[in-house]
Amino acid sequence: MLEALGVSRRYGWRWALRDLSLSVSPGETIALLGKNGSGKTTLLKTFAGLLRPTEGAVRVNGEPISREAKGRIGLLSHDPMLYAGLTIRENLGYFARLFSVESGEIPARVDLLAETLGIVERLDEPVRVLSQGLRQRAALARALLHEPEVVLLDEPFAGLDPEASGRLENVVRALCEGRERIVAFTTHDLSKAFDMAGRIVVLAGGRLAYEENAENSSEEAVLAAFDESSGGSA
Amino acid sequence: MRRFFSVLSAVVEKDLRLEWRTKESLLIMVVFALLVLTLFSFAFGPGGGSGESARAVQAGILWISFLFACVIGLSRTMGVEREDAGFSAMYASPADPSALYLGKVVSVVVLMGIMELVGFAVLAVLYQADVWKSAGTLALIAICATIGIAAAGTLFSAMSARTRTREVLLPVLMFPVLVPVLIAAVKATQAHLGGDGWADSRDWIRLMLVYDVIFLVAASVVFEYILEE
Repeated sequence: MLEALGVSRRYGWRWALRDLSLSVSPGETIALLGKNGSGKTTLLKTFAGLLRPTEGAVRVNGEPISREAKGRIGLLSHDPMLYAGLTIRENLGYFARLFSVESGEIPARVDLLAETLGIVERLDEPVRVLSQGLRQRAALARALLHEPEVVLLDEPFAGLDPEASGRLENVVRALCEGRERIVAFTTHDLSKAFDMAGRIVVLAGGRLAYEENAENSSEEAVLAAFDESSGGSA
Repeated sequence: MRRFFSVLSAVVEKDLRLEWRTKESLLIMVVFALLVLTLFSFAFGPGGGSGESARAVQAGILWISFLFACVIGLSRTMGVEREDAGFSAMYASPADPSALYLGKVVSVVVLMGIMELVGFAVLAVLYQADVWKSAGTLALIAICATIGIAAAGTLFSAMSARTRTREVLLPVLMFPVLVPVLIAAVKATQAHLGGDGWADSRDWIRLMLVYDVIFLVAASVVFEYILEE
């Protein structure tokens, strides 16, 4: 269970999140929607333990985010978090060690993820020469390398061509099918959100503006919630 | 403990591999140290004079050149972490921040060590300093001083890396804190370039050892908060 309990986060004088409570159960996939600056990325980073809430708490399986808990979370951020001067294989090897993956398992996991994401032939190329789509796939491999229970994806399809987007979509879809896995992704693409997520969550002005099962939800209701900024600014 | 050393070695391996590919930091550090030593050798004449004051000047020039070169190297090394969001990736991982910090320190020590080898050789040639007679003790002094500089430098360069004024901020933060280790390194080096050797340098080496331990422990504890966005 991934929970945000009355979470607020402030950058200087600006509130990015205001008293936000949300819980996601194992096996559930949520799509986080909202305008730019609505607090989606801040919420994902707070869930990942990258940001400390100014108020409130984030819990994974009932426990506050600790170093051990971070080992159960995989984050795909706006920034690929890969070293441009290293090859994909070297990057994945490095992060696998940071995430305490057994050294004997690393090559097999790297190969499997590379095959799934279609980057086998580019594994030994430096990240700096890769296209945006390949970097995104390599970053997703980094986020999934330690087989996390919680997968947080910040605009995973942004800036990708249809082929790369489709391939990534298949991988994310496969992730969502994992029974015990929690997947939360942000997107501006309503059709992808409705297609892939079980629950739609809309943030506006750092607050929870809308939350509904995808099947009971409609695009009109979601779009209406985009403008429901009640006080806070992000 | 196995996890700790696995993380530490992963950081060292990654840093040295990146450096081996680009040679950006090391090359700049060595060239800068060489330039400073060469320029001062012109200012003080061939051999840099003689007697106790000349040895004090030689030791001072040597360590000042190492310190300045180290600032440039640290900026580059931490620049990579900033540009590639390495700090965020580290903080998002379950890795022990102390292991991450010590891994960065070891990488800096290795780079500085290579630069210092060249620096001592240049001191021997341009200043006709007798570095070979006490090579072992000078190596010990260099190791103690380098660990101190790397320990403080890594901490402050990580602190300043995500600020806009990082190039200016790093020396401003780092130099005052490094005064004890710089004085100790200069005095101990001076002693072995022609003083009473071990008798004169013993206390300075002890001071550096205490500094190293205090700084490594304190910085290991606070490094987690520096990684936080």
